[in-house]
Amino acid sequence: MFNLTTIEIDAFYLTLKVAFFSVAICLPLGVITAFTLSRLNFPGKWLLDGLVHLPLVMPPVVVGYMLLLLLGRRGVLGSWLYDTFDITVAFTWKGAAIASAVMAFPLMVRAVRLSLDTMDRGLEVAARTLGASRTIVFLSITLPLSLPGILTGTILAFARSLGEFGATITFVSNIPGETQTIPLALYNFTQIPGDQTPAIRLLTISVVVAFAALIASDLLARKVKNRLGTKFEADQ
Amino acid sequence: MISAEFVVERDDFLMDIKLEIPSTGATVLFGPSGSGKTTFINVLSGIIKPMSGLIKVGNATFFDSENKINLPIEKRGIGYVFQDGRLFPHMSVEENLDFGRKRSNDKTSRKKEIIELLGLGQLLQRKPSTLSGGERQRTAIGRAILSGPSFLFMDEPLAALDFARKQEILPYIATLKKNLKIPIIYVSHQMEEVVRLADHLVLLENGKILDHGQIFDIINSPSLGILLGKDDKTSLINCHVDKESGKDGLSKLVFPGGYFLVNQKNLASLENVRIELKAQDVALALEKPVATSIANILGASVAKIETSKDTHCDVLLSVGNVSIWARITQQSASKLGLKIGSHVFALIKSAAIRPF
Repeated sequence: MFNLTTIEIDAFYLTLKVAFFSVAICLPLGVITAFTLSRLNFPGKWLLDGLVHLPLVMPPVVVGYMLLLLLGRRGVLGSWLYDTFDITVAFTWKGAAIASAVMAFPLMVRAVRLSLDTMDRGLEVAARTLGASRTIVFLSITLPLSLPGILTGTILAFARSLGEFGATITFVSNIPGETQTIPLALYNFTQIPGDQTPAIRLLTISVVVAFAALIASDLLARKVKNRLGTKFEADQ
Repeated sequence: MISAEFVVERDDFLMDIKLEIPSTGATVLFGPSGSGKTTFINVLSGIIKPMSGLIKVGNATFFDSENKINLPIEKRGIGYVFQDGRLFPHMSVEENLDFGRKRSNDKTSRKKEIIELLGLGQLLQRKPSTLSGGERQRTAIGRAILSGPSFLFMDEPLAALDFARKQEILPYIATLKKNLKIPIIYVSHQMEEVVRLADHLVLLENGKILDHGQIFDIINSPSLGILLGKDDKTSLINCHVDKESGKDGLSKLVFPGGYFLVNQKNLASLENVRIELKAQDVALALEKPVATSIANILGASVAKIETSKDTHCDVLLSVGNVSIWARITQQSASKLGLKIGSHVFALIKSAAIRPF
């Protein structure tokens, strides 16, 4: 039962690869966006806020189709990318990572922003009275103190990427070895009548990966909590 | 010297300030809650941007609305002790202390001195969440000082502490003031802190400066009486502690004009103290009483008599070149036949003298 076929092994590695790169895109952009929304005031802020949240409220297929129009070989950005850098994202694993990143982005931004919004802003002011510039304050105070939110956001984004289906299949299709992640492979297997073992195997892998991610996040969260010294806060 | 002239908008009033603050000793901003004290130091430190004005500290221009200068907080070289401490929770006490020190020009050996002065030696590895309120505030004070400020702002640093903790920290601040020679601007609405720390006093109410000047002048200002809701007179006298103090249980506090005997042993370790003497605790006699329990009998001359609408009057006495207020009834005053220039004896019980 547990002799995995090439398709399944490929799907497993591809899923991890796509999720990893999706988080890698989401994390820096998400933190910057969250900081912008939480700390800065500028005209058109509502528009940025809306754009960030769009993937959360739109059907994933719509997001996938929009990506295709934008980043496809003949799309506005896609043709430019192809002509200038010879990069193709549509129907490749890179495209799958982008689709996942777009879908996960609002989750990342929301988690980090919540952390930034609830943080004691007075600490940032205090740091500046001690001679720290805005950049130093961000790196040494704001960022470390929003670590719990960043961690939550990363886990949410990673989980979202593991399960991304609609936007991915619309944007980059379902190509074994290139864009066929576990959910897409599982979908394929369920469409074929007969032996359900491959589907059950993928299901098991999914559950194991998800559990591993949860446990890792829990361990990390504990570590961060200890570092922030919040363990004793409840006693006071 | 800080010279500040600015207009800043608050929810409830417009604050229009024009003030010069000397760069020596402690200046206490005193006033009821919501009078604009914190706003004042937040403007000076750059946390709040005023609508217009000119703020200069020494040779540096912090803010100049005409020439569009607004020096960022971190470039103003000030230390700020916040009411709530604001220690960085993810750093140890030592890392907190080092945060400002790393960025100051003065990286010399002051750290050791400050740690000892504030009694932080045992706390260095602890996280702020494990500290008591008093320990946190001491750390916050140390952190601000170690950033090498040219001015130290303290925003009611004791307000969040209970009585015992206040008594724990006040001496530290008094020692700091004496040893470090950093000018301090201290926000307070506690008379005790004023009496103990202030060299200069600024009285604020509803964003307006009611009065300001040397503590010895302002302590009996009518504005302060109105703020405190009473018309007491208080004398503040700087004294030198005599070395022989404490041997017989009494301390001898010498001032230009005489000395006080105070029923406190623990003053011997101090060099100088300031005493507070309320006018109603000073009695007057024309002749020197011989058999009396009163320990302090000072020869004085009457400099001023203020008759109140009430039944009492306040008599300003010159003892040497020190002024002491006495409050007696108008009936007593006429019985004694007090006039300006009269020679009297001021009688003060030891217990009435509050040394700080």
